[in-house]
Amino acid sequence: MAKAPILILADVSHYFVNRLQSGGNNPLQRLLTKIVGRKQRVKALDGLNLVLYSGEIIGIIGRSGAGKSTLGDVMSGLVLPSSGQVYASEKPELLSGFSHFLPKLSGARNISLILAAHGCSDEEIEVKLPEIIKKAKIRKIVHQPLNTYTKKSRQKLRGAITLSLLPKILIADVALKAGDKRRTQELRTEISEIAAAGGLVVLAGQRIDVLEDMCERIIWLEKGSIFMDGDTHSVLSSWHERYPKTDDDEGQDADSM
Amino acid sequence: MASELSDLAAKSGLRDITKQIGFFEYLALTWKSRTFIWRYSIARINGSASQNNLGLLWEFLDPLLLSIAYYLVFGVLLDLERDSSNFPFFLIAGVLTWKLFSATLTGAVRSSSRKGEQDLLESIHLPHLVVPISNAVQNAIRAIPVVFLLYPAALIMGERPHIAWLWLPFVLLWVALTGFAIGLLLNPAVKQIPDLDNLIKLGLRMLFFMTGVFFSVEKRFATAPETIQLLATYNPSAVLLEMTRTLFLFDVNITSSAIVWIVSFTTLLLIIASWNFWRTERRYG
Repeated sequence: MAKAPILILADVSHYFVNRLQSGGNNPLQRLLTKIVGRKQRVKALDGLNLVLYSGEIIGIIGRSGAGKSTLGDVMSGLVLPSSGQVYASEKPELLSGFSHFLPKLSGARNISLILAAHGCSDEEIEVKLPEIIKKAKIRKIVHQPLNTYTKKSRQKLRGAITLSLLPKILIADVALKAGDKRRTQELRTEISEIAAAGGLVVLAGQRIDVLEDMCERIIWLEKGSIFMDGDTHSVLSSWHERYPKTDDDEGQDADSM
Repeated sequence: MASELSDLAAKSGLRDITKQIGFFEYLALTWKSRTFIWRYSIARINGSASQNNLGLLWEFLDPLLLSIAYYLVFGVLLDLERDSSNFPFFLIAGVLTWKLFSATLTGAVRSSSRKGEQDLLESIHLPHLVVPISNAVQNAIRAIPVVFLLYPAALIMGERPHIAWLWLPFVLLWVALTGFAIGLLLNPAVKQIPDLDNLIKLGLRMLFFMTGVFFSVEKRFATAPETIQLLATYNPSAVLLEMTRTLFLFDVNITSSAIVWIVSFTTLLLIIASWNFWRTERRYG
């Protein structure tokens, strides 16, 4: 059966605006920059055209600053591109850092809050809450403030919440870790199942060996443009040629929050 | 290439997730987020209350201490006590109503730059309108229970219970809605020009002094030119204060035209501010 497009990027470009605190061509400009700052436009993505299909697990690689996270954010629909369109069958789910958690609240209240933000009713939250607690294995600490959790516990919790939402399109912008090795493997298996069920998984900010293990297609970004897009083996061979082995993790700048 | 991809998307039944949804759909989506708004507001209040030893007690102590200070300065030193038959109650009703009005206004206007909210909106698909609503709800939850102290305060200060007292919850709701509507209207402008936040603080301070928190607008502006008198009387925040006071004090009488004005003003402003917020969300969000 032919794979159907599930996410399409048409001529997507994205800029950031940085406010500089120093610089300028002449003394007056430098003084003004120091006092009021100066805006500078930085191109993060440059005219990307992509078709992603259902059933795919796609990895995004690139050096630090290549635009991997921005591409993940734009694909998720949470960040609007400066120009171009993103088409999808449904709004993608983003597996990102912990910044949207409230650290002073308990794990249970964080779970409820995030489920509510995803449109779950009180009844749905009541059903999902014990399932997530069980899956994340945080039953003993669920009523403690989140800032007392270990990083591993928070990773487990984040993964369990995201997967409980049963996303059809998942964009993971953080390393796929869930505490211990066994749980991490379980998380990867569950994520693979999203693709197996006809969904799409996009992995950005991962270690190369994880991508090699999970993906069949890799998109390589250089300075916000697609440098190479193809099957995992051929793209990673070229990557290793260009950036010797020691550069893998640094170059990928994997985020293991 | 882009048009070919757009055609392919159309053929595959995909929709443009960068495209803005309609205004009514946006409002419906915001309504759907009400569970989140409520839970988030409560969570934020609990978080901030735990930062002080006295926690939420400060919500009561703050207006009480302010009222005492205003009474000493404006009632005793500046002799404004003659503006009302029951000046201490007149003052406390003014302070508490103003607190609710300004709290919902600042909650709605200053929601754009807080990091926590930005992180949330960048991680989860939510209409951005939930943030000013949630901030206004948080501030209202903090302020409203305190305003209900007006009941015991009125009794202690010698007022006799009256059926009109039952209107207080509706008046408070309208006070909160008016503050929220003004804040929401200003919100996109602050997102575009953050410096405006400072001007708004200044404007709110000026409005406080013109609103009649510690004097009677009717009496103090009685000899002013007609235009000034009209502006002072129909200043929305002044009308709101009069609405609270008129429930308890026999010598404060609000005209029916002022009530019609504030109801129309708030309703219209809520519609315009929500529409403007939706219209500009893509630009400044």
